[in-house]
Amino acid sequence: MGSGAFHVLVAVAYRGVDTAPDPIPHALVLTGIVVAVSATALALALGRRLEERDD
Amino acid sequence: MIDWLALPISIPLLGAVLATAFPSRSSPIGLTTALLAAAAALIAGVLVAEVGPLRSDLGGWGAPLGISLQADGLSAALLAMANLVSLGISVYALWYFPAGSRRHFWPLWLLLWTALNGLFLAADLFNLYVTLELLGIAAAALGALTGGRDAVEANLRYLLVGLLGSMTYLLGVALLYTGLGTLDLGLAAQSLTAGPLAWISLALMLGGLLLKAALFPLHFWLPPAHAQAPAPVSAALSALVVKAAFYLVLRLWVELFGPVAGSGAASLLGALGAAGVVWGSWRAFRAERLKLLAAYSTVAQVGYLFLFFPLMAASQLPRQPELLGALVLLALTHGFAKAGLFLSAGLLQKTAGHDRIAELGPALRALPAVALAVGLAGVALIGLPPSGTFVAKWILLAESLRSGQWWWVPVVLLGTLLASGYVYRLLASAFGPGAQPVAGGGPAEAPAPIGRAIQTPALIMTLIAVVLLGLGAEPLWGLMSGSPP
Repeated sequence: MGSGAFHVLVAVAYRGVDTAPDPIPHALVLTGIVVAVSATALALALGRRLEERDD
Repeated sequence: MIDWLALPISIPLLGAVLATAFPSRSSPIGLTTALLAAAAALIAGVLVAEVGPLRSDLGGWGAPLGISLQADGLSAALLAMANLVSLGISVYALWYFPAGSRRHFWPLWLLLWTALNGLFLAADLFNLYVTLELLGIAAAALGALTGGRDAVEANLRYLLVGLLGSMTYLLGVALLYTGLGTLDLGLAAQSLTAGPLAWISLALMLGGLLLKAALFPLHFWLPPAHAQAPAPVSAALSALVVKAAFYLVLRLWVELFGPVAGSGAASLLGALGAAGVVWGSWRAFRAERLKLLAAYSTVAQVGYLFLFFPLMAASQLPRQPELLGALVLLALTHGFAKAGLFLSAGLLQKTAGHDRIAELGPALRALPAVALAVGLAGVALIGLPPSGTFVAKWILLAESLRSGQWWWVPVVLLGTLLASGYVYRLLASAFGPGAQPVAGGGPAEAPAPIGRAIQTPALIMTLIAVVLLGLGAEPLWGLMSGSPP
């Protein structure tokens, strides 16, 4: 889901053929990836805690 | 010149970094930061009220490239509420958390505060996304602070739901950017026209946000997450985090999508809100535990907020600021009242050792100030005069009848009836005819002593909800009519 949204953003950067790609969506994707990674890390940490509680 | 819009964001951020760096001194750092941040936010709010909407471009870079902050009446009102509530929660948290977990609480809490202020002040769609995501991460981490199995499970679900919501929102932003070539709210509003682009991005962005704002039937994650979190965190989640997502929905609606969306979308939001009112109130009425009751009541109150959307869509321009004012008043009152209720619930839970409603009587009688706070919060949740909810519901009912949408009236009446039911059930455990007498000098194990000072934040918040916002709400409408309709 996350990478899908990021790919759409990267794709929209390449609009005209002869113009340079729009840098703003790239900056957005970069920020978005950082956010998604930290959220995933937190989710994994919570999941691990859950696993420990089960034992 | 001091940038009053940047300060409410940078102060808590700095505080969070300091509290992480010096964990042994996190409490004094946290409290100082809380005072400074609330003061800065209040000054920003007063400035908006005095001189009108503010806007500032960080680093001198304007839109479309730079990061802009802006505050109009809507942001200022919510910003002031959020910071006052946060200040109260901070004072309360000083006492609530044992020394061991304080150093985990403060950095996360200040980060949450940063995200909250950033969200209320951000002027472009992408910064809204970043603050929304930061808010979700900090909130989920705070909620899982107790480390209990149920708490971790509920908050893992909350985190994943939040992630899904913000990714959906981001997809909408991407589509909008493709079509309009700008991320700035004001610029996008000027160039957006009705059409498939507007409708699809509307559906995606609002869908993602509604998931976070816990509109029925997307509320399933809220009650367990809010009920399992530590009391100060529950207060912040229910009073502020849900409001932040709702603020975003409202902001997008009034600035971007309101003019292009048909009345069909508004009616759908209203219908879901109505379902939320009835279902949330009913579940709160049936709840066995106090914090679960408060959490379901949040679902119901969010429902009320969405009832305003079809009315705003149907009303003509001069009536809109009045409705918007009532809507914001309802949101503010609920913020204060629900924070007060959750803080009281935390005190009762510590005293009684549990939060089963039927057996809370002795604890309620042992803490008269808390009982008063619970009662006042109840007044605000039901909507008895003179609370702010009463004024807001009055306008809601009057406007429903005036615009011929009478079918919202029974919903509001039923919700109010159920609300009085659950508040009465709560107070009856202490004062009703069936109340258990205090047998032989109170509960078996000695309760933790609860100082008078720690009962005050809850009491002050509920007093603000009932008295100040009910009787002194008039300036709010002035503030709203200064903001874009």
